Amino acid sequence: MTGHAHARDLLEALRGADGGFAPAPGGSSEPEPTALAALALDDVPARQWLEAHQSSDGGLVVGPPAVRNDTATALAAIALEGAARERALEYVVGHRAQLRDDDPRFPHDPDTRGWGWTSLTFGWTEPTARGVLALKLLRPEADELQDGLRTLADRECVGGGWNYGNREVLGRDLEPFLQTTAAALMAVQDGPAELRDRAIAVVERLWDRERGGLSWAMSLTALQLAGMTDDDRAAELSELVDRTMLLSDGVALAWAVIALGDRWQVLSVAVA
Amino acid sequence: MTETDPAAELHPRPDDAPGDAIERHLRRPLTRRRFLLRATQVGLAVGAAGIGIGGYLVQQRASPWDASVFPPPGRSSVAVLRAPRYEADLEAIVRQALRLLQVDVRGRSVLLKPNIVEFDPAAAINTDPRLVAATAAAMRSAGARQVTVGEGSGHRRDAHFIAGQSGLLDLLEDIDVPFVDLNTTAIGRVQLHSRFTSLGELWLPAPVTKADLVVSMPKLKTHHWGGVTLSLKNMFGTVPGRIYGWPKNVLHWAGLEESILDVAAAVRPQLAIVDGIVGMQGDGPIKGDAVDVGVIIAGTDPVAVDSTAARLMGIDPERVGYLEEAGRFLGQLTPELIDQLGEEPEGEAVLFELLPQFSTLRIGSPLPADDPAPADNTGA
Repeated sequence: MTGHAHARDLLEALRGADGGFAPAPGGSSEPEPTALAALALDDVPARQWLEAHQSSDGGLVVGPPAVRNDTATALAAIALEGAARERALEYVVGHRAQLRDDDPRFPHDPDTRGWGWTSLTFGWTEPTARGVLALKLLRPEADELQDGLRTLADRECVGGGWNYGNREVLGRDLEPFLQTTAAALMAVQDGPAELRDRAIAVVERLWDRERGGLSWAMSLTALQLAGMTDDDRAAELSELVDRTMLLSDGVALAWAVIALGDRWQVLSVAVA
Repeated sequence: MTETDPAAELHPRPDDAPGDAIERHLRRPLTRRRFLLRATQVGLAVGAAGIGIGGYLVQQRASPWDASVFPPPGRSSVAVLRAPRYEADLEAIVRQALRLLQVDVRGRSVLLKPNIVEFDPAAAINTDPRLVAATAAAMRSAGARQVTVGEGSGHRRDAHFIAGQSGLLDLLEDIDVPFVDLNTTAIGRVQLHSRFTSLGELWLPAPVTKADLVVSMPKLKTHHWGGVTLSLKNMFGTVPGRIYGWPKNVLHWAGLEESILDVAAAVRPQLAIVDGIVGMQGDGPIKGDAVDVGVIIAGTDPVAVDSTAARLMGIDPERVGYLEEAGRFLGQLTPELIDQLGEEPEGEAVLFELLPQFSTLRIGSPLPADDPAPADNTGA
């Protein structure tokens, strides 16, 4: 069995009776794996699950009242269609992260927001990358898109790439991670060119060092979106799927299906 | 812990009103005075919500925890055992610790929670996988019904990478012990019985809430926001990132030290085993320098273990804000009330280098001013 087919089967095993997808075996359906599965499998029941769990304000939220993690909403916007997609986009533009005060311990631009894991806190790399990608694909004229790009530029590590979102703490430069750099590379697949080119270089440099299913699946997706096909890396990811089942991580498996088939094209700004 | 299955309520109803924003005005470092002030504020908030009545409200004003759940800490025992290097017979040392502490794991399900936060082969960031595997083997040979290793890394979303590259997955596979990513596994809703934050409840992984015995296995490290990171702070890794984000930002936003207390009080690990064979000093928990100590510190009271571990690092535990507060309700902090088993801590102590802002934590240094350390409200 190819890695792609194997990843599809493993992902299908996480489908719940309600049509949604769980993040791991034994769990309940949640927005993020369901949105990614909807994209990876072009799956109608997954889209129906997303619509059924969409709040009237358009958000897809998980977590206790004091947290309300809403970061899957941008992915859901890409996966959904019609009015449900528009509601999700309205939520995305209306629920950016909090501004934070200027603080020399964390030299972030205090005027950028981006998106957070919850709109109750401030912005981080992966949620911001999702927000940027959704707006580039679906609402490129949105003002919030430019703020998201400024946020990513501000959080870029020295030399390129991204970690979870702190380039410097207490005067020390922090290193980029493969997985978060891949997330951001998807968002800057069509530019700004400097960010994209540095991100590609970081992904290529870290590929062999950071051997993990989620990191590799997101990286292969990002490289393809940046116009780089890579059969060798696809073969490595396929082998990893076959050997480890990616620890049955639903999010990693969905990204593997996207990367190893042709579904990555639904995330392509050029195609859109 | 009180825990309910959230499967039917995993998602707020579509039209639920947004939840209360996490309090932002209480994100400075904790001191006894601030804790008492906070306790009063929380008590008033409870009263305003119509929850607290009569003597209960008065009690909450004095202590932000439920006294019926957390009786006053009594005497505790902590074992300090020499383990000069990772090539030693660590399984035998852990078995000795279990005997000294009279820990009976027969027929019980055990979750080992190491600290696997980053991977750098040249740094002493993580609980060494050899100690984790040796502990799993010791638990099994002592009769544990089931042994699982779980971690929910706060920095790295890709558990496959971090647990694999560190060598942990291979070592566990060799002894047929499963690893579970606590960031992705099924979760349960846990009502908090302490109120240092306004989170009210935590969603915690089922392997944590359902285990008979949760074992906190931290690395002996300094921490650039909290002073030290030991068995209490290690419980941050039980909080799933897919809900609370990476780097568990919601907890930092709610107040690092307050969150350490609420999370540790929710999980209440029944055993702590600290990897003090090689520790990290200075700019921990990631950027510090390795330091050879050559000990394993173990106990059934995580506060007492952290108190002993701090003293081994040359740090006064009563000057670490969250440890001082934990000593009021969660376990024993006072050295005179901790029976030391195995080696004498003073004989094994190594003065860890401290960042300048934490110099006042050093045992015997001049007493700190009211706000000795910068607060973290971002996560790093």
